[in-house]
Order: sequence, then C-alpha cells, then structure tokens
Amino acid sequence: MTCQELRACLDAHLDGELDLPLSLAADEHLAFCAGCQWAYAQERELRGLVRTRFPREGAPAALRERIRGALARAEQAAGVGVPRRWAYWAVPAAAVILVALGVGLWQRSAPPPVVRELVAKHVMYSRLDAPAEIVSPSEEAVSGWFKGKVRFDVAVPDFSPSGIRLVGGRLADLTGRQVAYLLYEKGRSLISLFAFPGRGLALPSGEGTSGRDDRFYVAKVDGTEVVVWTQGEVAYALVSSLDRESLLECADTVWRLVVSRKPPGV
Amino acid sequence: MGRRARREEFEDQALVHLDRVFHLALRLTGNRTEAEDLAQETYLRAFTHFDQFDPGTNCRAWLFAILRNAFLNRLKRQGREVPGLDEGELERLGSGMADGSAPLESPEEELLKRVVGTELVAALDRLPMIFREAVVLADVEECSYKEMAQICGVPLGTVMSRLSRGRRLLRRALETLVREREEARRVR
Repeated sequence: MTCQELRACLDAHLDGELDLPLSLAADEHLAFCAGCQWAYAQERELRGLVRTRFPREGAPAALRERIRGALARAEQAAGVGVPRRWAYWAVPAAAVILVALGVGLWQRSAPPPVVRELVAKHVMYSRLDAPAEIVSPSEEAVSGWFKGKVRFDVAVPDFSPSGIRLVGGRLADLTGRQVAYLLYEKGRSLISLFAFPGRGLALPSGEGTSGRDDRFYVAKVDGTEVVVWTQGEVAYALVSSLDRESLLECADTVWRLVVSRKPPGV
Repeated sequence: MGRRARREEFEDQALVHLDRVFHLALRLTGNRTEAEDLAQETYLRAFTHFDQFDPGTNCRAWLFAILRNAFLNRLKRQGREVPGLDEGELERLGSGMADGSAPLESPEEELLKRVVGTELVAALDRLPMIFREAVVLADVEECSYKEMAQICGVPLGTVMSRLSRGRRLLRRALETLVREREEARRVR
C-alpha cells in the first residue's frame, strides 16, 4: 500500500470499516511510515474528541408526550391507521423513502468474501485522483502494457458505444494473486474491470442470480453493482455504481471479446 | 394485529429512539422548535409505514432515513435549496483536502486539546448539510458505514468520501473558532 492509498482509506481504517486484507495492508504501511502515522494520530484525536465530548442532547419530555398524543389521534382518525391529514402525501413519501432506502440495500444476504474484497478495492480506487499506472485511451496500448506483467492475455474491451471511456490500467492484488485492473469512466462514475486467474478462488456462480443470463453472477453490495464470471482460466469482475443492466451489457461485451481472441481449437 | 396493539408495538420499537431522532433533527435544522416538529413528523410518517419496517433490521437507521427524507421534503416545500444535489459544489468544497493525493495538512499541534464542548457544536453547525450529517451519523450517533449508506441512500464510497471531507472541514472550523476565541481574549 502506498501513502496515497493509505490516505484514501485512513478514515475507514480508523473506523474499523476496512476489509481484513486492506486493514492488514494499512497496518503494515503505518508501521513503517512516520508521516502517515502522524496523520492517523491526528484523525484519531479529532474522532475521539467528537465521540467523547460532543453534547448529546435528549428530547424534551413534553415532546415525547406530544408525539404519543399525535400517534393516538392518528390511529383514531383513520380506520386503517392512516390519518387523513397525512394521507395525501403519504404515497409519494413512501415512494421517496423506498427509493432512498434502495430495495437491495436492506437485503441481508451476504456476498462471498472475494466479492466484498472486489467492491472494497473499487471503492478505494474510486477515491484516488489518479489510480492508473498506465493512462491511455487506446485498448491496444493498455493491453500491451500488461504483457509480461501478468501471466494471462489481458483483453481490453471497448465500451465507447455505451458512452464509457477507457482511462487506463494498473496492477492490483486480490488475496495475494496478481490482478489486471482496468479503469473506465462514464461521467463521474468509475467502472472497474478486474481480470485474474480464477483457479483456487471460491468464486460465486451465475446460476439463478442474474435472472436472464446464467453466465454471470450479479450482486449489489452497499449500493455498488458487481458482475463476476469465469472464462477458461481467467475470472472477470465488473464493479460500478452504474445500474445493473448497463453493467451486464458491458459484461457481455467482454465475454464476446474474450471469445473472439481465443485461438481456434483452444 | 389490533390497532391498539399496533400502536403499542410501534411505541415499543420506535419511541425508545426519540432522544437520538430529536438530536439528529436538531443538528439538521439547527433550530429547537423546528427540530421538535420534524421529530414529530418523522414519527407520524414512520407509524403510517410501520408495515414496511422489517423487524429484524435496525429501527434507529430506519427512523433516521425517514427523518432525513422529511427534512429534505421540507426544504423543497419551503423553496429552499436542497443540498447534496450539486456535486460540483461539493467537489469544490472538498478539493485539495480530502483524498490521498491532496497535500498533507499540518493542523496546529495541541489545538484540539483547547476545544470546548460548545465550540464543537458551533463548528459542526457551520458545515454544509451532507458533511454535517456524515459526521453526526458516524461520530455522534456512531452508525456504521453500511447504516449511513442506507440512511442517506448513497453508495459506500460516497459515505467514505463525505465523512472524510466532513471531518477535515470540522477540523478547519474548530481551528478557526478556537483562534477567534483566543484572539478576542488577548484583545481584552
């Protein structure tokens, strides 16, 4: 982990919100970097100050009684428990609340650790100003940059028909294995494409998850969409805050590109 | 469930969080009377939609999400600017200080030790709403990032960046307040 990466996840580390591999990497960096140690101590002091000294005011006793009274009146005023006064905006309000909560956000099914790690990486990289090691809009240039750096052929897809622009690429790691990481952007959204050797990793399968397409595993982790699949020896993951349909479209583009690059008979 | 039983159930589950709901309302509105109104509106809305609450989930986070929406709707109804929609402005506020690439800040050593409680409140109240709520939810209410993402309806990455910007803005506001107080005393 570099200083830049550490600073990007400093608060999350302090709050105990980093995934284990990132948290270990952060501790390792902190052990040897005096500058980051100092920044970490400063942040910890501020956080501690707010947590211990901020005056937490309680509600006035009269308010509790006022609310209980209002609830009782609301209950009486409508047979179904919806007071007339509120009913005219209750429907749009419910819609707003549902949208804000996001249906998927309240789901409690836990995605596999490897998926959470991919999302954590995506979130970390989306916070860096310049995460790419090779910056180029050319698919050939980025693909060529990976030659000799990773042991598999890195297919760099062209998503430009969907308005998604190639930013560049970098090396990353995923539970100790080397990953080719490609960055794309659409407007202000980062789209991450990870490619890595799939063997020995507990990767989720697509069956029954994406509904219309068994090739792809899809999940939503904390508001971020993830699509994971394997083609031959290489596993791919697309991670973004774009909507699921757009991401599946991208996954299909990668799939077709990988198929077309395979020499016949392999 | 009978109507009365439903209300009792709601009071048992939701009314225990009134202190926290009121405090968040106070930090959002910055005004005691408005905060009381907003808390009441939150509870009435929550009661209306109590059927949609999943008993296995966090009731406080659910109430906070409703409170936040009620607050934003109030701003809209009053024709006031709804914060958090102009990402460009947020960029400007956060620029050069939030991300890892930013130059290192060198806050004055020991300054935080001289902060008094009322200055913490005043400094926080100076922050733009989305940064203020991030700091309040994380550090005063001690919500997890996941809860914050649910409450604010944004992805986890946005929670992280708002919180780290919010803490930096808070530090800056605290430094200003402490310096102003200490200078005023020197002048006297």
